[in-house]
Amino acid sequence: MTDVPSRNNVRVFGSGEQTMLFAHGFGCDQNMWRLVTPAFERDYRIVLFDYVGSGKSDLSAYDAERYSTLDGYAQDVLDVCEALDLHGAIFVGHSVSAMVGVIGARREPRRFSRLIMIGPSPRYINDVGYTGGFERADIEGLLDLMDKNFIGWANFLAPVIMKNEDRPELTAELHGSFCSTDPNIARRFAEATFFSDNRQDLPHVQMPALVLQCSEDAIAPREVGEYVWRNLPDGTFRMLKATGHCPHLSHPEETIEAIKEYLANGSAAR
Amino acid sequence: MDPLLDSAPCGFVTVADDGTMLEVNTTLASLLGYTRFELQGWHLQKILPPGGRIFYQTHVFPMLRMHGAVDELYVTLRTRDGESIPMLTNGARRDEVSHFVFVRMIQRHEYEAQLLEARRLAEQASAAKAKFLSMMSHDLRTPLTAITGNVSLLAAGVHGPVSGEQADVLGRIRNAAGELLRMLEDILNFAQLESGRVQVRISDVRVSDALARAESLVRLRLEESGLAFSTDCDGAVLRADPDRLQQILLNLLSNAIKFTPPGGRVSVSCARDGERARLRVQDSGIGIPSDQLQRVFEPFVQLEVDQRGVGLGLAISRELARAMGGELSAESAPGEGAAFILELPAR
Repeated sequence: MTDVPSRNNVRVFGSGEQTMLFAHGFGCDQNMWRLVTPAFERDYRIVLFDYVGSGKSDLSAYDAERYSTLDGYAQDVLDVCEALDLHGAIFVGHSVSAMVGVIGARREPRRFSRLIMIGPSPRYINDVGYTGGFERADIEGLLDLMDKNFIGWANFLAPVIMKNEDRPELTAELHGSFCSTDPNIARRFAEATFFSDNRQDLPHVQMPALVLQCSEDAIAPREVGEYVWRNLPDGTFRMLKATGHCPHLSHPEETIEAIKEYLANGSAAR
Repeated sequence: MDPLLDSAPCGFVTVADDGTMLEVNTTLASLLGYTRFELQGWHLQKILPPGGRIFYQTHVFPMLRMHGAVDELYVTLRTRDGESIPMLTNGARRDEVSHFVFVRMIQRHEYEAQLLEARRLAEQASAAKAKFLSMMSHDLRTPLTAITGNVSLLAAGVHGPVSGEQADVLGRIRNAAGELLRMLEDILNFAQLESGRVQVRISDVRVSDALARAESLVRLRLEESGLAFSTDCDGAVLRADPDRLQQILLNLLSNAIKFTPPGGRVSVSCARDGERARLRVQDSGIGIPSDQLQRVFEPFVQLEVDQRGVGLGLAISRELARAMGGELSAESAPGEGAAFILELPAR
């Protein structure tokens, strides 16, 4: 029997009947939420976790096959739900995790009562009649940058450092960089994320969902956010003044306010 | 901007949390084909290629926001003409403003690309080798098992009476096939170890129990060679995988028997050193030349006197010891035999 709470480094805190499950995006771990969760922990039970391969998750549980598509990541979310016996939780997903939530909600709708999607994109690469914002070559460019930065430095150094048992702080320091622990895992997560196409899943979302769209988001542009909203059966679209792709880091107050307002008013505030 | 900073031989830019470039020095602006006043006020995206924009949002900014700094990052910047320039950058965030320094790295960039490619090819070759070894051992095992099985049936007289001479020949065939099987096991084991697929299940193991089991498997050979065997490990308890420990002990004892002339002795002793236990397998055999002490642990290496086997036993044993958080080393002095020291966490 898998020990999911330890495998996914699950943390539960806060007080409240209702659970908010926060899912981090690609390149990061649950620490991404630390500016946002304090605003909710008085009224909600907060659940944070790291996907297997990210943060302080159990790397030995990583299975390249399982995590080659977003389905594997969605299974992580559902595993956490099952381990904590969550029903009707509010799912908050950043970036790729918005779609991971959509996949999870399609498979086990009873787990979630609402989805809050921060900077979602169902497909990053342009297609006929669809603008995702990127060409395949752009994603190759990202993978190249990651190779040079992770595999270039970390991988060349890591084997040497791992054997350097009398200086464990070196290994720790290496792992601290970039939240992602293993360069090969990070690369596969990038491929699973940026080569995914989950447009077909959107119409199957049965619960109300909020799209939080940043201004000038280079990763998930406004038209992509609007596409998500238009294809959700019960979607709400909220434009943030926040620019960039990580409003919960760059503009936590506005992000908190938008989520609170949505939760207070429900899907009526369209 | 300070004139020194403005004309320094490296790029300098300050960026607000929303990505707006606040200050850009002339060195960077002109490298990219702009004046610094053209760039100031623009979003950083203007000078990043699409992949770089994703990298900035998913890695660089979160790191700056959460850890306050990024070091030695490889990025590419885009010029006004759309050309990409590889850069090395350091960044630090203070008072909600991130400061970046950029250094151009054309040649170093090419060198790194070559290194990465060489690494990729080496990994590919290594994976191909591991796959080949694993497949080969599997494929060879099936016919070999058929040989040993059928020889046993023949020897048992299932297919008709067997003369004494024939039984002798069948015995030799079976021994040779058994030896081949053992070598295949070694190769398979080694391939698994190399590809990191071996799992260890650590528990408390009494050394005397493990030794008794290993001894029962080599007792016949000890007696045939007329070797004296002694152990002194009562009470020692290790944190180890019992099966893997058994495998190592069996390998060390087999080696000791093989390299010790008739009438010699093999002894196993235990000592505790803080959190570790040291298990020493000593023989009175021919010993190992000092320049070979490290080499015996390398895969496919055999000492000149050892013409049997594929030379994987010690390589496997060392990897297994390491997988259990331990180490295996060798000591030898001319004329005094060899000692193999297995160090593992003690309970």
